[in-house]
Amino acid sequence: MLTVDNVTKKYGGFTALEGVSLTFSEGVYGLLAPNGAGKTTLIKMLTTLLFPTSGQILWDGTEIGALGARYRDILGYLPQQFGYYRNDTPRQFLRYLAALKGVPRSRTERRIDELLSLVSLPDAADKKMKKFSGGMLQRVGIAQAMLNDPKLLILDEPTAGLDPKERVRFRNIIHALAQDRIVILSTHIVSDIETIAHQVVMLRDHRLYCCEPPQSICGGLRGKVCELPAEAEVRVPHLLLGERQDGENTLHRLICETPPLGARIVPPTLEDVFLYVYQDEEGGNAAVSF
Amino acid sequence: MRIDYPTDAERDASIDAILAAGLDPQPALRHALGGLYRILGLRGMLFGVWDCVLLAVLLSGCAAVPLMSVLLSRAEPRLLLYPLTGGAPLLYAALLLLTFWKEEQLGTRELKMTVLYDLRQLTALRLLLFSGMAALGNVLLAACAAAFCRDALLFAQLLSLSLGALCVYIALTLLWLLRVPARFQPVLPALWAALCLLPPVFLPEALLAALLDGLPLAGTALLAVLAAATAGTLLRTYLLTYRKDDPYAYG
Repeated sequence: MLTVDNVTKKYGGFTALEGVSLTFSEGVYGLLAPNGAGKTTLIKMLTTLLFPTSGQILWDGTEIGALGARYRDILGYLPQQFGYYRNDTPRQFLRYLAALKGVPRSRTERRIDELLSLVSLPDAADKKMKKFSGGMLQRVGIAQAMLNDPKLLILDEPTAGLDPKERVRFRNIIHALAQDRIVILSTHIVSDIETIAHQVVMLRDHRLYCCEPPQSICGGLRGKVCELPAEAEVRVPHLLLGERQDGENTLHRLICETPPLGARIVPPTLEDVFLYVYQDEEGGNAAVSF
Repeated sequence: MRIDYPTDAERDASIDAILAAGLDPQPALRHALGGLYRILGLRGMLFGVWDCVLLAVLLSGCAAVPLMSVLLSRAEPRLLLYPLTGGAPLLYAALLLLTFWKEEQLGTRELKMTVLYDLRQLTALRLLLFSGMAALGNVLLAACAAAFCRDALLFAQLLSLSLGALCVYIALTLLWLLRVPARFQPVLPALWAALCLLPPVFLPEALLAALLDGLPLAGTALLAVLAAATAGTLLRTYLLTYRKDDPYAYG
């Protein structure tokens, strides 16, 4: 079990995170927040790249800095900027990282073959990575994160820059990996975690906003999200979430306390919650609150 | 009721047992690095940075060969003492900075900081290798210069001064790694170069050479040994000591 106990991180006068307390057990956790909210700061503290200014992070009751190599032995990490050696093949790169991760030599080759099959790269195992697409590189990144069969798998914005097909493939991989381990997936793309996370952690104003199942988070806006024709005039306070085409008509999706006449109430999605929680007060209308 | 107090031996054994159960014993430096070397080997130690090693050797050679040619063409071989002493850490500094720079540019630094045998351990192993390479380079240069000048004493003087300067620089590097954030790593070689360039501004090179020539051989050899011992202690601190405030000055 991973425990974040009242953690604060400050850089001089700037507070990146304040008073964050969380507990992670087996399952997939989505760390959802817009850019600059503190996701990567929290991720870096969980991976011992940074230390908290105050508070502590514990693995099974022991502070992770004190655990040192024992904590890194159960950790698998895919950084936001995944570094690799361009002139090496995935097999060479994974072999090297397997040595650094303490994977016994007798198991290395079999482990590499298993992981490359898992991430659908068995045919590219001996091709130089400088020829790989972004999606292929991210899959190599996931494979390296899994080399030591970690109990704690942390992925920092792993789908940034990937096309929709790759993102779906990625979600399937994570879903398959989530058995018997803690997976923490940091993203600002809601669809990445909407269907696979059993808990979503949201940060707002550098503090913890909530840590609940997606259904529970969406439940807070039940009855307040509706759709109506784009040409309809809305006189009540509302937040425009987006629009979609329905045949020849354009429908607006919005949040309001009382749905206007002619509006159809629809089930709220996690994206609706994201847009509502992180609505930009300076971007247009004043913040709408229900 | 009479209570029998434990004997000194029983007391010490109990304390040792409690400490052994509660504390992880610190491994000896040679065991820690030797174990890592057995796992990685030379190829693993320099995986991804072989080009940096080659470039550092080429750069050092390109700097050393013409410099030596100019110096050896002068009448007074003792003039070799000052520039070769100041330039002794050149290969070492080039190896270190280029490998640091490459890991940073490729983005592999962050990933390697989170693995079992992390970048700090790998860096410690590389520091030892680079120290050996630099020391070998200094021996070769000193031998070439002494052979050219047919002066065995010159070889001993060049060797003790250059190895002493190298060991002092290695110790400074480790102190810098322990105390200074990674982004300021290039400052140390710049400071060293500036310090080496300043004396000739105020003193003629011939006078500097004469001063170095006057240093007792045993004294400079002792300095090299003390600096090497200090570097070894700092390497152990760098590798084995857990520090909460800034555990990764580099890597």
